[in-house]
Amino acid sequence: MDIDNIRKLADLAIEKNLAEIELEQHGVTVRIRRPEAQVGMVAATGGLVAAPVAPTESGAESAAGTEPSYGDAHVIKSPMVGTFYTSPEPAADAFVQVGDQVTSGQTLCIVEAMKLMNEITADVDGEVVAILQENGQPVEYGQELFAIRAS
Amino acid sequence: MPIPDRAAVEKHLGGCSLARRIVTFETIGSTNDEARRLGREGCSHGTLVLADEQTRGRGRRQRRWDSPAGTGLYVSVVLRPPQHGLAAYAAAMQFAAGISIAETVAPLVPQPVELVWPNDVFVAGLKLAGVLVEAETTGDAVEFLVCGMGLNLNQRTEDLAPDVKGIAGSIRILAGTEADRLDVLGRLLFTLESWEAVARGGGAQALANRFEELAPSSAGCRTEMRVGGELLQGISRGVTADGALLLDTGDDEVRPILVGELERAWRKR
Repeated sequence: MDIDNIRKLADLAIEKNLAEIELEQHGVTVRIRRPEAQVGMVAATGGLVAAPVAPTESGAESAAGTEPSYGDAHVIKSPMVGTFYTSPEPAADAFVQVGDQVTSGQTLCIVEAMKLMNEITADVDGEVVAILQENGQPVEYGQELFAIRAS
Repeated sequence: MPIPDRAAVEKHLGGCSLARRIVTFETIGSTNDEARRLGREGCSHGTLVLADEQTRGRGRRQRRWDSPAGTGLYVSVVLRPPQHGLAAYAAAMQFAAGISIAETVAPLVPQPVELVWPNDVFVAGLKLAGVLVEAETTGDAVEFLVCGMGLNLNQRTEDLAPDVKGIAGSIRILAGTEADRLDVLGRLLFTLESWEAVARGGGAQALANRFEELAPSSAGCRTEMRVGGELLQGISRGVTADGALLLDTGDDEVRPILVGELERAWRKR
């Protein structure tokens, strides 16, 4: 993974105002966290050959006026108004993390609407490249939840 | 404003057996209360009470149903049950009301309509309509039923009370266009008329089957129900002709729940 790819990832995080994005390639995982969507920070974690990566500039220019930079990733949208949950129960592990391989039909999250706990499932096989909402936050109908790069 | 205009309503509902007599109000406390009053006075089957606005609109368990003027449909029909199979008719009409709303609304919104036992109507996670079926009995005999329905049509998000924002919806919010109240009223009443005939003809099982089709959470879903003070957990196994939700709580036991609150149901989308 070269610095250009990391920069693209950081741009994506800023453009989409993501709190966190993680990408794994060739055994190297890069996770970008943006606490309260303020200062962008890049950290390299895990992987035997992970190289230390310097923090990138925050507030990098976003690609204004261009297409969303999930590339050709498939976007899962919320079929309803409700509350977005990344895990089945508050204390449980998340259904999926960025970088996970998922298969069609696999549960990605829950959107709770009134009494209905709607398990939102993947409709493609692929890799989760972005989780676009925060746990516990309200989501609107049609709001983007996940980006999945189909395999 | 067509709703208080009884002549227009009468013309539009001409021939409908559930609108043989039409009583309209600009403002009323609750159409169900008025229909019950008329029922106790001996009004005939198919007396329809219609209001432009309700000041004390309510649903099950006295829950409030906001019913502002000019934006929704608030209707109650007095139903005289058949001589035989009274209980089955009452249960069937509970399903018939929800089914009729779902079938009326489905062509008007881009998203799927979903029923939740016993009678909630959701579209895209928003509650769009409510059903309140009440029975007046003398001894063991059901004298009459009142089938009340409230349907949000033209409220905008900013019109909703703060405590129901993100919970309640309307056809206008979901479809982006206004609905014609008279047109929706006609679809609703003629649809209800056809299902009422099924209920009257002993077709409670057909209504249960149709309800299940429109209520995906009613079969095969992890479900929590509150029955009395007890929280029951299990898998939903469909609904019965007498109106119960079947809950498989394990231990080889499938319990029919006739009176209970659905707390949560999980389902895949």
